[in-house]
Amino acid sequence: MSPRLQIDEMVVEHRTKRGVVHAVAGVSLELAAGETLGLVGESGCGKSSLARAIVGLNTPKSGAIRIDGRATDPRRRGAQARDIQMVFQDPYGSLNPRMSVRELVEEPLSVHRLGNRAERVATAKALLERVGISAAMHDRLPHQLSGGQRQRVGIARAMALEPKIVICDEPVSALDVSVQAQVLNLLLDLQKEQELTFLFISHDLEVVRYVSHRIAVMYLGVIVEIGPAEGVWSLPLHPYTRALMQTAGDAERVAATGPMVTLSSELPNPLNPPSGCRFRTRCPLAIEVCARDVPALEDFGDGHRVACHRAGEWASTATPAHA
Amino acid sequence: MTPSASAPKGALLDVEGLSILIKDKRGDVRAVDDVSFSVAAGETLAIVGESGAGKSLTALALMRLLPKTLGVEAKRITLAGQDLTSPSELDIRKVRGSVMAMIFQDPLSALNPVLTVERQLVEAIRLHETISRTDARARALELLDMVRIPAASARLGEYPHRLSGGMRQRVMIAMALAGRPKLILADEPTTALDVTISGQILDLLKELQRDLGLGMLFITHDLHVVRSVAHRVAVMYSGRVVESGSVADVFERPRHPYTEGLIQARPHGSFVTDGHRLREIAGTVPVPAARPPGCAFEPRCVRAEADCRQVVPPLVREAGTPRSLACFHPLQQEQYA
Repeated sequence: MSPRLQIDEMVVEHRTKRGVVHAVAGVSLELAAGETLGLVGESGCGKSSLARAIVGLNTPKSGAIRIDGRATDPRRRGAQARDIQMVFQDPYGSLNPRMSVRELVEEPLSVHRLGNRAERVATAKALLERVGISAAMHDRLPHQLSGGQRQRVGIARAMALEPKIVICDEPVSALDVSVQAQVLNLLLDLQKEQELTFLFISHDLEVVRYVSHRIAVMYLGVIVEIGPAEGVWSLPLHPYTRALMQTAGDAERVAATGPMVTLSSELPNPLNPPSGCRFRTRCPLAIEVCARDVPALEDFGDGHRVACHRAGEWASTATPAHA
Repeated sequence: MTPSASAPKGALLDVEGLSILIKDKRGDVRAVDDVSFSVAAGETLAIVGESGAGKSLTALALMRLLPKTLGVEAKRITLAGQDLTSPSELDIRKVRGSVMAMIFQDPLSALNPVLTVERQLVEAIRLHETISRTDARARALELLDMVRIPAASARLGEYPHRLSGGMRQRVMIAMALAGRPKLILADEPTTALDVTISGQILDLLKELQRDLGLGMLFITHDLHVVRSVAHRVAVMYSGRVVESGSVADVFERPRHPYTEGLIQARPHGSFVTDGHRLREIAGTVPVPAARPPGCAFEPRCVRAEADCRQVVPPLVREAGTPRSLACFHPLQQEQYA
């Protein structure tokens, strides 16, 4: 069976005054129906560029997107656009401030000419009810809503076209902790009801762990580690993944499964990425070969793949630490 | 609460009954309502809460950086032995920067974009010390070394926009240290940074605090950050402190339903395949003007009873413990095992 979403060797470039940034430098991913792939990485690693290219907001330089095995035009128009929708980080910036809540949810339906006016009104009402926005709020404007309510409206808008795939770009980062739980529960419920596929981008590792079936770690435009959430969590193999988990408060578990990795410097200039392994300039474990050869994603079993010349050294000796 | 109970002997900063009023024709609204806390030298107190809790206002009120439209009232504020309850502009200028200094969330807007790092640092240094420009430049270099900026002398000539987020925050910290303060007010200093960088900045702050014996008031919404930097924590909700105590104690055995709700609302190390559901706190934080007459958390609280709707529960210190609590129906410690 072909995967619900397949990304093949996607490359996204941004032209800047000082040169071309390869924001996404050849990323391939496969997501099954009903699956969540969590995508983590620092800002500037290309995760949002990748997300926007998948939704069709950026035009990728090369690469293919297949939905259920069918190739799609990256600049999807018309019916194709319905399959992939996006939930944005900042619901305030992504909602038209002059449209009411009801109009905002109706808009995608009218753009795609779905149903007549009465049907659209009914659909919008049902969607808003589903995401927990009471009828009293349907005529309000975005600025009259709280952050959590705005994000619910953003989710209702994304769901309006009954997509198969939803790209969630930091959907709870701008929300308060008590409201984050509400929105995460809502997203997971919707996923179960409609067998949605999520690409879930977040810098919050605990949130990613909570929602993801699989986790992918991105660094300077490439995937450095990907695998089942439990595998990546209990035995992070790439030094960068280990560094992320160490700083996120899991130092003990990292120490138990191999070398500790403390990052001292910051992301190198993306205009001129390092040769060989892109992480080597920040990697305390880098050796000669890392500057020469680009490491390929190597399978360590159970679909846990890592792009590191040295990962084998600790992959074999360490036993997964169960958190 | 008796004043002596809230102020450990030798507290660097002691605040009692601080309120911040939004002046309004229909009556003043208390954005921060009767908040008390203290910070000792070498100690970090974290104030944690969601947006609108009044955390940042509290720090700005101490620095007297609030706009004139907001009124500040306090029963007592003392800083390093000095009474700052109702300071004159001159009093506050004497302590601002040299006794207490602030680190802001967004260094790009807190730094002057048209001046080099050197100009800004030298200005800050010479505000507090009468030294020559050459000596001030040497001191600026020393400060940049202190905050671990590599190739410091090359960085002196840079403008803020040329620096990365982490470097900018280090420059902010260097500027805060320029006047050799005893107390640092850090308002979400790592919120705008990436995880890896935020870890570095937190480590730096912890080291500086230890080496210089600084007191630190650390404002954050992130429970994880509280765990990593603070000795004690005060949880704020809608302008009031609802629970305070040592970090380990409050996080392991939360007694206020809001504190417990905050902790439970975060993912707890489960995987999606476990099917664990996060516990939600229904509703949202009330705006100060619409705060209910009793406990501000009552409309969202599962333990609320009739008395919670009528009277504001006072923050009461538990006998024989460093723990304070403002709740009529707290969780019993056994219940949370």
